[in-house]
Amino acid sequence: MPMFIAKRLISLVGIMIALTFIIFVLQQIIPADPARATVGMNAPRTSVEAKRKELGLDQPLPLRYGRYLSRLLKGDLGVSTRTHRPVAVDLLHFLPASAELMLAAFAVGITLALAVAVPHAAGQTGSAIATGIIAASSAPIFLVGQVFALLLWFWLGWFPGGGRLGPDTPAPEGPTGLFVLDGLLEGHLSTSIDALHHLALPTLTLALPVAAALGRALTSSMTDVLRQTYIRTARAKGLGEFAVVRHHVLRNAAPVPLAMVGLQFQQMFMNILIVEGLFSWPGVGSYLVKAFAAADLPAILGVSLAFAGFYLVLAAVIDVLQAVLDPRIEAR
Amino acid sequence: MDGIDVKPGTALRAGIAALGLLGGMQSGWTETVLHVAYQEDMSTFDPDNAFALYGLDALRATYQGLIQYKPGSTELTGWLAESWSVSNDGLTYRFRLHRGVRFHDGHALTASDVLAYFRRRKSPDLALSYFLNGVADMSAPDADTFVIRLAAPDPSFLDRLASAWGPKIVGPGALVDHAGSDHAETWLNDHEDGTGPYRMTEFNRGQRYVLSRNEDYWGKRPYFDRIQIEIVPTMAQQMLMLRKGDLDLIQTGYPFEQLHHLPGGLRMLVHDDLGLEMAFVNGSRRLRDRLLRKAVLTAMNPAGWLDDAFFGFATPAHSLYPRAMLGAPAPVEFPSDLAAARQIVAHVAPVSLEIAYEDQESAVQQHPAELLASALEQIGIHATVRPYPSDQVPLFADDLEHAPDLFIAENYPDAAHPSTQAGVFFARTAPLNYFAYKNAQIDQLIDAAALVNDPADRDRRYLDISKRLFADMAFVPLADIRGVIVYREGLTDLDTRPALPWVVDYESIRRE
Repeated sequence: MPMFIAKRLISLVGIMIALTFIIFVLQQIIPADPARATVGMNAPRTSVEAKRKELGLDQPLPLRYGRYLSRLLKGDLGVSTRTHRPVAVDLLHFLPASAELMLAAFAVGITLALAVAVPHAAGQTGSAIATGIIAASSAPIFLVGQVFALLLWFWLGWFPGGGRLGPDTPAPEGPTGLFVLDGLLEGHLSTSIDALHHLALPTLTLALPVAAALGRALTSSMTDVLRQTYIRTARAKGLGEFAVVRHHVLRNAAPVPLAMVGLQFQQMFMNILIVEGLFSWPGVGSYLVKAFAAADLPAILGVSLAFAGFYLVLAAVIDVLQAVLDPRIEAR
Repeated sequence: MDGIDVKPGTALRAGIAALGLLGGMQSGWTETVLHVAYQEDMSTFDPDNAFALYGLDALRATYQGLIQYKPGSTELTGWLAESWSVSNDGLTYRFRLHRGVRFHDGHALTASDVLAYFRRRKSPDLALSYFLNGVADMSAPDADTFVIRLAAPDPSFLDRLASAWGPKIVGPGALVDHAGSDHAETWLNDHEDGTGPYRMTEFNRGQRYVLSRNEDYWGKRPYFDRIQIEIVPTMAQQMLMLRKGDLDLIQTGYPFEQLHHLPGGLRMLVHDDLGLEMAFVNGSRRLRDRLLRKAVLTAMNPAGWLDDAFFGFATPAHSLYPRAMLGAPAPVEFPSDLAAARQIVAHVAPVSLEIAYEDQESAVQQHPAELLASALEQIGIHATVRPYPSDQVPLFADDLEHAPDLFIAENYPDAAHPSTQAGVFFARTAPLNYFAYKNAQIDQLIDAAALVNDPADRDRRYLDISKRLFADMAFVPLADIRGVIVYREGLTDLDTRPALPWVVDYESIRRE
């Protein structure tokens, strides 16, 4: 297993370096002028030229890439031309909101996936939850989000329509930036509950595609496993249905949906660009959309790199988990 | 095994009720809090770097400049300066400061503070330093007097000081205590030390900004205790929030087509601003042909499509300057012989043109662009409409052969003086001369007009430039678009100023 993990780590570093190069080159190809973006549209051309020099945009490409890499090694992602702050600082500011939303959406998505898959595998087809989730996830996510907002916020008033906290709830200053957790750590239960209340609609919107995809994969995988002879043997030995599912079915059915978790993360990252906008959620998705609009190259590069890095680490962790669950993978 | 049977009734309702009760279902609405929203986050709160439109209202509520425009006009009046004078040679500007003004950190305003601030503003590292291009020298001869000396006369200088993006005095609490190695840029990104009626008390980037009333304000006490600004990216959500009472007003972007059917409880304020709808013509491609340009102009006549595009909230332009800036007597006259235009096109057919607009402006520009395309079809021109990312628009001039044929946009000049319009769009070196229009005679006329002090003579010269540019069909004035603020019933005294786009004066606004 240590050898397997070491190999995964080495390939991860190689991919990250290749990724920085690809992202850097892509940004050079895109027609945009970061110097103009920094000084504003109405600024005279002399100001733009001065800024271009200051940003080093008049330097040869290899030199700029070299400098970019050397700064990167020191954790310096550059300074956003839009917010005038270090991108790393911006990321630390916006990432917790996205992380909280994505964690909540994953938790809800996996719970709903189990709620779809387990009864289905047990022979109870056509449950109301499964039908609802599949129907909702087949619609475009922006439409689902708007329907939730209209129905559950505007008409029924059950949940807030946007933001992370109500106007009179001060933001917690806790260590994680996850408001639900920080509220608890600071002893402000009302803050955590307000944060949960605000999380509800974006979480549900984001969780539905995850629930549908994982639910389907788990259902199919569990159905296959349930047909195996060792399941018949387990039942014949007198094990209860719950014990059979828990000890034999879920563990053996897990690798396929586990592999899908990585893909779902990728999909979720695309979806937060929409969902964060719909629910005024101040996360990395909103930050990235604004960075694109303002040709804020350091921010675009920084966020892309951070998410790519996170995705690669997640993929590596999933590989290791799969190897743990199924030792044949490591042997291969 | 039992199937999972979730009954949505009891458990769900109980959960929601618990969340609602504990989390506070009530919106934070109170009578003396004003709730507003931005579609886009502000980039920085540094008045010398913040060139975006969002955030100008908050900046204006916390910082103040030497002079400003009067509400509803482009006439100048004092702000932190109670009076000012200009020397006969037009080079020396002497400002007499108000007494009793304090920065938000408690420090009393003196001319030395103003001098220190203006020195910072001139730093070329700052995006808006160009507002002080041409300043040769500055001094503070006594505690109440600040003097600026220009290298050459510039009759637009006072307008530059009064501009929405003009200098706004930052106190020594920021410039000295937090100077760092970058002129306090880092600190001023998300802090402030101004003299305005509100203090920035919460700066939660991307989510929420809170302005709280400055109880030591030297001027009239504002009505609202707090101005709460939320970032709400979609207009649909802002409109729902306004109807629900979670917002008090929408300063810009309310869809024109819905303004004639506002839901009960909502009102609108229609006001003049400097937004001028203009078409920029790429004379290096298909429209190099002068006759064809004339035919295109015939079809573009805004009288034919303006109401369909702006639903009565725009009027045909009178010149290449917004009417609030320069009052030309009558709308621009477009050629009207459609039959002749068709003949010209038939003679050089087939003709295909591309009409472009900025993608961020889609809500306003897509419809006019499509109507223009349809008008061009009527004279036999096949026109396609394409949105361009805003960062690509300034690059049109670098590759005119592959740039679109027409670009339409609503533009805002820096200030209400016509030189800020001519200098930004029409001169050869103008930053927003998208298709690199070059005309030495026009450049000379612009340079000469920029030195004229007499307003009547000045306006006559700028109108002459407008006529020449239109005759050359390099820039086409289309419409004066009116600003519309939609607000909840009960708000009054919503002061606006034409040269301050999307800005409601938080010092004057109140609730009845």
